[in-house]
Amino acid sequence: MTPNKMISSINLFRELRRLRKIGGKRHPMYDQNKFAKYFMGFAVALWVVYLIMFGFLFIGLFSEIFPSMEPYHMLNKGMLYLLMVDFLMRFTMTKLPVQEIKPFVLLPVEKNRVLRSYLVMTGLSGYNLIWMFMLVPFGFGTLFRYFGFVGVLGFLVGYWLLMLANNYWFVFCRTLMNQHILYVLVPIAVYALLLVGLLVPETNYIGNFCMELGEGFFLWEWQAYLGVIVFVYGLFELCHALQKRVVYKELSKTEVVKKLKKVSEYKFLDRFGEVGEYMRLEIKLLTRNKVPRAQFYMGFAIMLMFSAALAFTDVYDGDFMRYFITVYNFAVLGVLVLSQTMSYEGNYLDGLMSRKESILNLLRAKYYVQCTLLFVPLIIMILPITEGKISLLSALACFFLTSGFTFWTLMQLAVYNKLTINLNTKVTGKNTGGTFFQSMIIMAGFFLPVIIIQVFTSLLSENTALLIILSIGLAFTLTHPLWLRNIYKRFMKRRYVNMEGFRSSIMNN
Amino acid sequence: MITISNLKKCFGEKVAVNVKDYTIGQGTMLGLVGNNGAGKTTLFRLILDLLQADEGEVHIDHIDVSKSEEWKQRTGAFIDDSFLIDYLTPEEYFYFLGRVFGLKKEEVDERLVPFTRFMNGEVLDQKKLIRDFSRGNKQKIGIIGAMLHRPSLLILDEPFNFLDPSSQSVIKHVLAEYNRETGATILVSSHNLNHTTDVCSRIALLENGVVIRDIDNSAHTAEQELESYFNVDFTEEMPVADAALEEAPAAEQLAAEEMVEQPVAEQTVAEETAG
Repeated sequence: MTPNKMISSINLFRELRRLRKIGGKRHPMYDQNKFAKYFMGFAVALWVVYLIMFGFLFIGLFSEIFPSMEPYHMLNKGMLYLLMVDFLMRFTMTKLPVQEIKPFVLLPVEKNRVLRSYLVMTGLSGYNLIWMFMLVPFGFGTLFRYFGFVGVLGFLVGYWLLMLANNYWFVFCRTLMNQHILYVLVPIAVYALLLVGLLVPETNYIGNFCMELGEGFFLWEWQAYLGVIVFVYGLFELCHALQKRVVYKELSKTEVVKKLKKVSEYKFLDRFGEVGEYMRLEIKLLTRNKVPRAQFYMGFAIMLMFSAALAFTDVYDGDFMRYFITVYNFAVLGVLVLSQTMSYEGNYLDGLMSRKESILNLLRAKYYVQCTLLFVPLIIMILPITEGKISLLSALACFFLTSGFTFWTLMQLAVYNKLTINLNTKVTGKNTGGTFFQSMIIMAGFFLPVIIIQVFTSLLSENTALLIILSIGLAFTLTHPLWLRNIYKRFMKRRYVNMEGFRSSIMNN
Repeated sequence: MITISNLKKCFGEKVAVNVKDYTIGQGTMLGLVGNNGAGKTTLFRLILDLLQADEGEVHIDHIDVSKSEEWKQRTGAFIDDSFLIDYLTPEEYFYFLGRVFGLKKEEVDERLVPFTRFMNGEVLDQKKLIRDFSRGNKQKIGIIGAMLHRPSLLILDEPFNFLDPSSQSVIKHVLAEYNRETGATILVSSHNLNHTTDVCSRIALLENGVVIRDIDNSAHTAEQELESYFNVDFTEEMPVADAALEEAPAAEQLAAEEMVEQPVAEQTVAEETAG
């Protein structure tokens, strides 16, 4: 019998792309995503306009500040800052690529080729071209007259390769951070070292190197391209090796089943009756499952970081930034956890739904746990309050605005989320597509409170404005039994559609 | 009592459930049997209001399940793993359910005692999360969880799946005992005809979502009727194989004959077990 011919790499790539497209179209939240995509499209369009504007702006700005140097030399010299901003932006704008490898495990396809195909797919993502909106006008405005179209093209190709490198560096860091939150120290350490290298020595060796690299791009020097291509390839291989390890670990579940040393009972929650029981469940959900635990720790770490920044530094002394950071500080943990409301529970929703009003109690429990956690930033904020950096009134106003308005906004997602998030698988699994609708609500949760504060403080005296904000927050907080019940009722109205979505997206562990 | 009226559920073109009028009286032990895709699980999900019916209604004790949640207090169900909160230990899961149904810890402990043999020392005190248990033990945890609050209506989808033969035998005994003691209505679906006919006094045979036969099994006479329904005559079904057999060498012919005879052999074993 002749062995079957294996699928070629190109065909495999095409097949995987096709599957991903179909997956996106048949996504349980496709309709909501489509609706939200228009809004996100509008936001992206705004961002694009900004980037084009920056492109033109930098031409004038660089020639004004550094008249002895060409603007493109300045941009090249600062390319690492651009790459750092890009790296940070990827956390909000992109997702860790999901390796849908399970269906291929027993097929005559090399698993490595599947993994590589998914990684190539991230490289070809349109996101890696977004900076072109800034670089194209900049390139034509500065390089064209000296080096013509070919020079501009070289400059753009070179920067695209750098974005590609950044893409794989981001995937590498994100994969590591999904394994353990402490891996966040890897990019922090790398960027700290780079910043030290850029800022400390008298001669800016790194900056000069970057400038020469950029020059190599528009002069089409093969060494520059070869160097970057080798670098991109190295990062690609690094990502591949790491993802391969993680994927195999998840597929084979090689982790030895650990026996629990101590089973925590959180007995103090007994006094809260059935809601207390769901609070216990919420705490265990956040602490015993990899995905929610990573999000929870990440939120907690960001919260501590901002609290410390407010307390110990003068970085955020401006009015807008101070309020923004105070709001963010209170809201970040809630945003990360509450935006996934019901998506975690999708794993066992049938069980919950077969008990009376269990969803209402679950929502109450989630709300109370998050409100309790708000005391952590409040306590940390005692320091900047005593130092006079922020007033007690503004801290309390932000506290209640979060427990009232922000949580009210975020918990609306309980009605609309209908996609089960696997609690423990991270890299393997099915492509769940983008949840733009969630992103919209999250953005509303983050920015609406800041806008409210800005509007009131610009119209009224600070104290009056803060008192009004405090009242708004208190009103939302005190009426939580009403709006939670309203969310519950709306959830129950949509229950069949949601349950279908949860069931169809549930993944086998 | 469960009353089903004009219940219909379609998935696209396919009619998954189409039950005109069907009543299950209090205390009945009903076995739901049918081939894959017959609509057993869909019917259970409709009864439990986990799916929206396209037409018709289900009433549990005169309550429309889609309009009120009151029936949930006296209903217990286990369909699949999605009923389990798998990041809890079995004890935590049982206590969680207990508290949701207003039971104290001691009461939960007490109610677990009759399941000691069923758990076979492999469920409690393991200090393991449910997700780390075997499929069989997860099945046991789900079944016990559904019965813990002593519901007057118990719905179990394929309860014998994943269980070892001893546990299958124990659960049959547990269910029969529970029905006798509490007078609860029990609905069980299964592909195992022996087990179903052993414990159920009434059998509903489902085909393409329709109850095509409603068999009284109080005298344990349903098995033969079911066997004759489920046994497939291979000689009619596989004309290609037949044609090939005519020219096939002796060894292959023997193997094919074994295939044809297999259902008869199964029937003999089934009769022995039932006896």
